[in-house]
Amino acid sequence: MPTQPNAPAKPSAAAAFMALLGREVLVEWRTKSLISSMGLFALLCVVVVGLGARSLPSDDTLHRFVLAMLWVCTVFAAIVGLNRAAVADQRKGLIYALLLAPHDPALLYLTRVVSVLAFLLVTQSLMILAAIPLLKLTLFDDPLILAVIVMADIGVLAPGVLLASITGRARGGEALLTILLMPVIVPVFLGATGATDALQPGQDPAAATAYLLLLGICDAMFAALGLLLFGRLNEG
Amino acid sequence: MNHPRMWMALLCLACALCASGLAADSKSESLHPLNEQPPAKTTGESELRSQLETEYRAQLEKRVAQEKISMEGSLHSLWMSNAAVWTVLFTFVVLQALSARKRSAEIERLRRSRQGDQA
Amino acid sequence: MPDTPTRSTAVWVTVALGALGMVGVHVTLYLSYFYTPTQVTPGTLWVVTPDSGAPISLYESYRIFFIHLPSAYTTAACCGLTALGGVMYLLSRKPKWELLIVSAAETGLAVGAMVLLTGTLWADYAWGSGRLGSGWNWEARLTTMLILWLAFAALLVLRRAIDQPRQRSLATAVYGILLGPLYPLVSKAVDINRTSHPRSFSDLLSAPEIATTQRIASVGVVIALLSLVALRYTWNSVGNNLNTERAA
Repeated sequence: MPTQPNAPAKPSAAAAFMALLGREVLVEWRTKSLISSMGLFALLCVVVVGLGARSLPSDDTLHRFVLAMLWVCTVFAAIVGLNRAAVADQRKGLIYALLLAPHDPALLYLTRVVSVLAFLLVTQSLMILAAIPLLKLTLFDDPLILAVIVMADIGVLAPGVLLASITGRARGGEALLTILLMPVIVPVFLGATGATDALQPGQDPAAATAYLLLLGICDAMFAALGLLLFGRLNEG
Repeated sequence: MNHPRMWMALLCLACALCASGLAADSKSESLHPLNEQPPAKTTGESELRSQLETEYRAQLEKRVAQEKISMEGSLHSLWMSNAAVWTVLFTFVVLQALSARKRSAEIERLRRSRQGDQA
Repeated sequence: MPDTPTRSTAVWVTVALGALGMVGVHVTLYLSYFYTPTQVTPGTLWVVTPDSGAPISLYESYRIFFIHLPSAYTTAACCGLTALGGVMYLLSRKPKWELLIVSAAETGLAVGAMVLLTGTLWADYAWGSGRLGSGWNWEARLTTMLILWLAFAALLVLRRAIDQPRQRSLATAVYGILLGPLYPLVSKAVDINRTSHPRSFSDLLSAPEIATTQRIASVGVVIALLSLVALRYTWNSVGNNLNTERAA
């Protein structure tokens, strides 16, 4: 298509990415809808887990159980966040406006993954801060755990953003996202719980390598599928 | 062949055949305990020993032979019920495929008559 | 959904696969009951060795293997077919690929249930206490297989929730592709953890009769079960045509 002489130049992909990301952050800053719903959900989960485990003996098994439960909370908090974002997109056809951007829709996908990742990380920090006194959590023995958290979050959000754009248009979309996403992210969940467990004191940290590899493969695969398929899903 | 009740009947038959294994009377096929009777008292101990051993062997051989027959009998009935279930299932598959062909010919006929009307 | 003429090839493929499968199943059944050795003769106590724990004596229960393994292969094939159908649909936009995804998912649901049931029954007998469910121990392969089964169900639920045909087709294709990686996970699951599902059945297959029967079963029974994919394909395409005709 020949460029109109008066039309503004097409922004570079990086500039467009920053603009879209800025929009997401600004919207979140003004509404605080994602972090408040995800954060409250996660905190409630911590309280409920504590309540459920209150009569268990406080030992190593309980500690490992709590860590796995925190991953369950994280996955559901991510689903809450993805649903909120998808509903906001569909309202007043915002998604169609965004798709008009003169870039590949994959950019839109990338922005959404990065922004929800940022909000999810904030939520997780809140959750961990709450869990340290409430569930007697000790997490940061090995800095590698940070890599596990980020990789697992990407593994959940990469297919999550893709599926949320499907379920946003479907009947009963919010429940549907849970149904669709849970089977797909099982390998990520396995990797995250396995690696977290292996990095605890007293466990063999070498065992974490296989789980990190699993997380890495899942991240790469889901991210590639998301980048390839998001545009196809939203065309026309 | 298109009657839905017939398919239901076939499926019910398959289910019933599946369940037939539960109702199988395995008791009649299995072995009964031996009638143990104490051997008649004899004088020499070694004589008694060898006599007992021969008797025991004979009983054992008989028992193993019975066991074999019982085993083969239950395998046979299991095979029969399995084979019946799979036969019904694949008769169902083949008949369903043929009825799909009939159904699509019917749709094709409707389409042609509709297009004939429009023309 | 756009018009899809029911080709009579689909019908004949179904009939052929069904008939071949019937033969295959009967040969397998006959061999598995009368050719493979029974436990009466001494020295033929078949065992499998799980990755952790003592070897498990199988007695006669190993005969379920000739149905369990081919069903697992077929579930793998169904998972592959959904992914293949998804990719081909997005590339070509031909409705037949969407039909393939749906048929494979439906068959995967049925055959996956067979895998789970035969596996559970076998495990209950072989290393459980014999009560239903006593062999189920949340081991990685069992669990991932259950998840795959739930994912097939999720695909079909997803289709029911979307009214617009074009969106439904696209969503089906995308989810079909996302399902694809689950099968490699199921097959690698035995390597993730210490596991009670045997990694290989080499103990069992060291008997030549059992190995031969297993080879025949994994062709015959797989063909038989794949005829279900063909059957669902035929009927789904008839259903599509009927809907088009009703709408016209």
